[in-house]
Amino acid sequence: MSGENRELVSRIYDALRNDKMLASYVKRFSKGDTGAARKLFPFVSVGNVRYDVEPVTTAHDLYKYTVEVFGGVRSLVPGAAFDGGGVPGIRGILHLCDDLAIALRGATLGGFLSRPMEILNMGYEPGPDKSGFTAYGAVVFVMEIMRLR
Amino acid sequence: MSLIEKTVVDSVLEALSGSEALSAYVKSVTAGDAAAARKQFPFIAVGNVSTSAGVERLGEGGGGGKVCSFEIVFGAKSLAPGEAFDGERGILQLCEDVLSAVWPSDFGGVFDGPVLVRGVETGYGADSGGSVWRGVVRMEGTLAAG
Repeated sequence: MSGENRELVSRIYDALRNDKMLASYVKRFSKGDTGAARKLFPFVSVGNVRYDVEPVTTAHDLYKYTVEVFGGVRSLVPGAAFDGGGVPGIRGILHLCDDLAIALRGATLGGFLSRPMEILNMGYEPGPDKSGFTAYGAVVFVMEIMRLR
Repeated sequence: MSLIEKTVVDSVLEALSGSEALSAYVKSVTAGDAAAARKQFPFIAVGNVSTSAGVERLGEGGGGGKVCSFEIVFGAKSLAPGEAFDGERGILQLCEDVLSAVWPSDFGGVFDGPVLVRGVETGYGADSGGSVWRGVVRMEGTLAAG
């Protein structure tokens, strides 16, 4: 196995970038770049990969992955960064996480996965910001890949 | 650290040091020295070795068979955003290269069979001089009798 972790993250990144809904309002997609201070909001970043390996046969191993997709939204309108604040067309962190889930849930990433992506959990939290209101969220996905040893 | 744990650490270090893929870009491979601030990146450190006391394997042969777990921690750093994560020498590649160096293996017979992978994990570590990603491979195996 060589470069397959990077390939997995790259495919998730591509799937997010190619999602029409996300592409319509997310200003920056990245991999592993969680330094929010440098971001354009809304942003999405693929990061924090975890996995276990289980030998299945003498030649095959099952890789069980957990991948976190992190997002952030900022707005000058109070509440808008969280749920849109009732402002037409504004998508808050709740919408962003929903859109991330819709974009990736059930995806096989072009047949790269042995078991489609499922959601493990979602979480949100407010983020302090000097020039407005910021909210962050993360959607954690689980997936499996069977590999030849 | 007991003699058997020292043997485990030495065996793991030997496997890591013998990896051509790792030696091409990892700058230090050490035991127990995981204070990343003092490191040259990328680094690897073997640590957190523990042996379950008094857990004897039942069944054929009896005796021996204490379970030993250990961790291999490592880090990558880059000034370029994202490079320490999924660059050619980033943490994702380091996870793979570390795992390939030590698994599947019984570390020259120190364990009674290939050790089990108990998890591979990355984590972001902020740094004033660039972005830092850390990783850990957790492993566990049954020690060979004798």
